[in-house]
Amino acid sequence: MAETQASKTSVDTGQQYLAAVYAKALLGATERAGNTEAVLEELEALLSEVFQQLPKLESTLTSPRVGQAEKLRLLELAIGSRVSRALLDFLKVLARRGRLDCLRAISRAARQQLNEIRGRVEVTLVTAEPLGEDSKRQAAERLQTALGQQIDLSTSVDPDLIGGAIVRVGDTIFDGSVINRLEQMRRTAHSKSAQKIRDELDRFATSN
Amino acid sequence: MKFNADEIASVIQQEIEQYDSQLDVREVGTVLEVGDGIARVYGLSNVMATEMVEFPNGIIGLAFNLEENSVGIIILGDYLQINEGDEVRATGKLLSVPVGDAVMGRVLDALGNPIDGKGPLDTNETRPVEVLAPGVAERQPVCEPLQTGIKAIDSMTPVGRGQRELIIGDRKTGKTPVAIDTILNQKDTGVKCFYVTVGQKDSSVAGTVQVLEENGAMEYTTVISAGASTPAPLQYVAAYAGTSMAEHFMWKGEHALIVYDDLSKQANAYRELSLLMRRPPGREAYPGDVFYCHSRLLERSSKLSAELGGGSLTSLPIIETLEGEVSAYIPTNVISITDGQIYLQPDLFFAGIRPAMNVGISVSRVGGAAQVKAMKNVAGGLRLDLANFRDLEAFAQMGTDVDASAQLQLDRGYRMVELLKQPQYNPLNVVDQLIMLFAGTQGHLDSLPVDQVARWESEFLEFIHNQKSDVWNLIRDNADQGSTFKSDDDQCSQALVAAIEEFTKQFNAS
Repeated sequence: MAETQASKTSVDTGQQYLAAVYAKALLGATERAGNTEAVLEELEALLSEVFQQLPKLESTLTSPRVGQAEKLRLLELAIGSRVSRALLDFLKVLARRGRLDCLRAISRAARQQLNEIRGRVEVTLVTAEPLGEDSKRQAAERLQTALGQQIDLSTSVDPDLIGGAIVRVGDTIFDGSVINRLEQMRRTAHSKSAQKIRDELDRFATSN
Repeated sequence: MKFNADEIASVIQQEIEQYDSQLDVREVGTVLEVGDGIARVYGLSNVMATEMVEFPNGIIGLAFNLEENSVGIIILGDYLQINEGDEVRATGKLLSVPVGDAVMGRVLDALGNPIDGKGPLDTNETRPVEVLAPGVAERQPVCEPLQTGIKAIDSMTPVGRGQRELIIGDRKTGKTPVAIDTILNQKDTGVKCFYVTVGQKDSSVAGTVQVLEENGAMEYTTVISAGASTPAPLQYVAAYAGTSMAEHFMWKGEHALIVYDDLSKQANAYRELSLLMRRPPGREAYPGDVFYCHSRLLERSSKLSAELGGGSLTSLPIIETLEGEVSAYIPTNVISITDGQIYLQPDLFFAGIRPAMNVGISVSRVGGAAQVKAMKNVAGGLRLDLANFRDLEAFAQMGTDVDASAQLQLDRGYRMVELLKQPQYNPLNVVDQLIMLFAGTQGHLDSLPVDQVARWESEFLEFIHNQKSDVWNLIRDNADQGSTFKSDDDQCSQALVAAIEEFTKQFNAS
C-alpha cells in the first residue's frame, strides 16, 4: 500500500505528458484489434506482479546504461513467450525509443483514457475495515446509481478512519469518515465556544 | 481573573449536542514538490485562479499558476510544515482579511492575524483581498485636502483625499518620516490610517509603532507588517490586504489613508514568486505583469461619488531608488501610476534641509483642488520663486555680482528654505502653516538673520497661540475663503500683519 501511495504522489509532469501520448497510441492500436481490456490488464499485471517481484528486471529495463539491443533481447527472453503479441510490440517500441521508464505512467494514463472512452469513472473507496465481497458489490451498485455512470471501483483500508467511509471520484472526495466528523465537531465546538466566551466574558470568568 | 470551568464545559457540551454532521465534500490535490514558499500540486482540476486552498495544519495557499498537469500554489505561511504527498483542498473561496473598527490600533500580519499580543480581533466582518477598483461612474474628482502637516508638501505639492502621491528617494533620505508625520497629523480629523510595511526590518517596524503610540496615533492606525523575514508570498499579499482593510472605511463613507512602505520591496517579493513559478522574466527580471501588480493596487485608492457616500482612500506609496536612479523600471512604473511624487534627495538631506524635498521635480497632479483656498493664495507662487532662487543661487555662488532686486530674491529664498525646514514628528496645523508661509512670502522675515528664522518661527507660533488666539481663530474660520490673504486689505492679512509687527518688536528687543 505504501509503495503504491508513493508512486501515486511522485508524479513527474514531464513524464506524464509523454505518457499521455504513448497511451493514446497504445489504445489506438488495441482498439482496432479489439483487445484493449486484455492488453491493459496484462500491462498492469506485468507492473504489479512481475516487476514487483523482480525489481532488478525493471531497473535494468529502465536504466539508460543498458543498450537498446540488450533491452530488446531481454524483453524477448524474459516475457516474450508469456504476453500477447500487441503488448510485446509496444514494449519493444518503448525500448527502441528509450521510454521504458515511463511505463508506469503510461499504464495509468491508458487506464484513465480508456475510462474516458468507455464513459467510466474511477472510484476509490477507503474504509476502516476490509470489505467483504458482498458489501463491495453492494457499494459498487449504490455508487453506480448515485453517480449515474459506470464505475471502476478500487478499495483500500485505512484504520485511521475509525469508521465510515471515504469515496474519491476524480479529484473530489466525499468524506463520511468518523475521524473527519470528530475533527469537524472539534473545530466548530472550539470556534463557537471561543466566540461565546469572548462575547459574554462575565459569565465564564470572575475577576478577583 | 478566575475562569469558571463548569460554565465553559457546559457551552462546549451544548455545541457538541447541537452539532449537525454533514457529509464533507471536498476537492483535493496532492503536493508534488514544495519549497521557497511555493508548492506544485497535482489534481485540484477545478480550482480557479487566485482561489484559496488549504494545506494540512490549516496553512493557506493561493492558486497562482494553472498549468496543464499541475497547479502552482503560493504558500501564505510556514512552508516547512508541508510535505510531499500532503493533501491540498480547494476551498472555493477567495482570500479575505478581517476588517472594521476592531483592526484599529492593532499590529497585524498580512493575513490579518494579530501579532501584537493583544488577543484575537473581535470582528466577524471580512473583505476579499483582491477587489476590483471603483469604476469611472463610482468616482468624483479629488476635491478635499488631506493635510500632511508638512509645510513644504502642503504648500507646494498638496495631497487631496483620494489621491495617490508617491514618496520616492534613495535610502536614508527621510521617506518614512514624511509618511509617519502625515499619519500623526491625521489626529482628530477622522481619517483612519493604515501603515503597510513590506520587507522592512522588524526592529524599524517596532520603532515606528512605538512612535505612533507615543504620539497617540495608534488609536486610529493599523499597522500591517510583512517584515523582511516573512516569506515572499506574504510580502506580496500584505499590500492588498492593507488596502482591503482601508477600503472598508472608504465604502462606509469615511476617509482613510494608506502608506505602502515600500513598494520596491513588494515588487521584489513578486519577482521572487514569479521566477520560482517559472513565469518568464522581463526587464530587470521582473515579470511582465509587475506594472499591473502596482496599478491595480493603487487604482483602488479613490474618491467615491457623493451617491456612494463620498468616502476616500488616499495612498502614499514609497519607492526606494538606487543612487537616485528614477529611470529604473519600478520607479518609472509607479511614477506613471500615481498622481504626483515627492522626490527626496540625499544631498539636500545632508545639507540639513529636512524634509529633503526637491521642489523642482516634486509635483502633485491634483494641484490646487487639494488645498485650502487661503493656502493657494499664500503659497501659489512659492514653487516658481524657489526655482528662480535655485537658479540665482547657482549664479551667485560663482562670485558674480547681482543687482539689488536679485539680491532681494536671494535673501527671500534663503529665508524661505529655512522656513520650510521642519523637525521630525512635528506636523503643523494648516493655520500655523498659513501664518508662517504668509510671514515668509510677504517678506516679513527678510530683515531677520537666516539663523534666527527657526527661533522666530517657534516663538511666534507660541505668541500667536498664547496672546493672539483671536487672530488664529479668524484665520482658521476663513481658511477656505477665496479672498483670505488674497490682498493686503483682507481682514486676515491685516490682523496677521499687525500681530507680526507687534511680535517682531519684542523679538528684536530680546
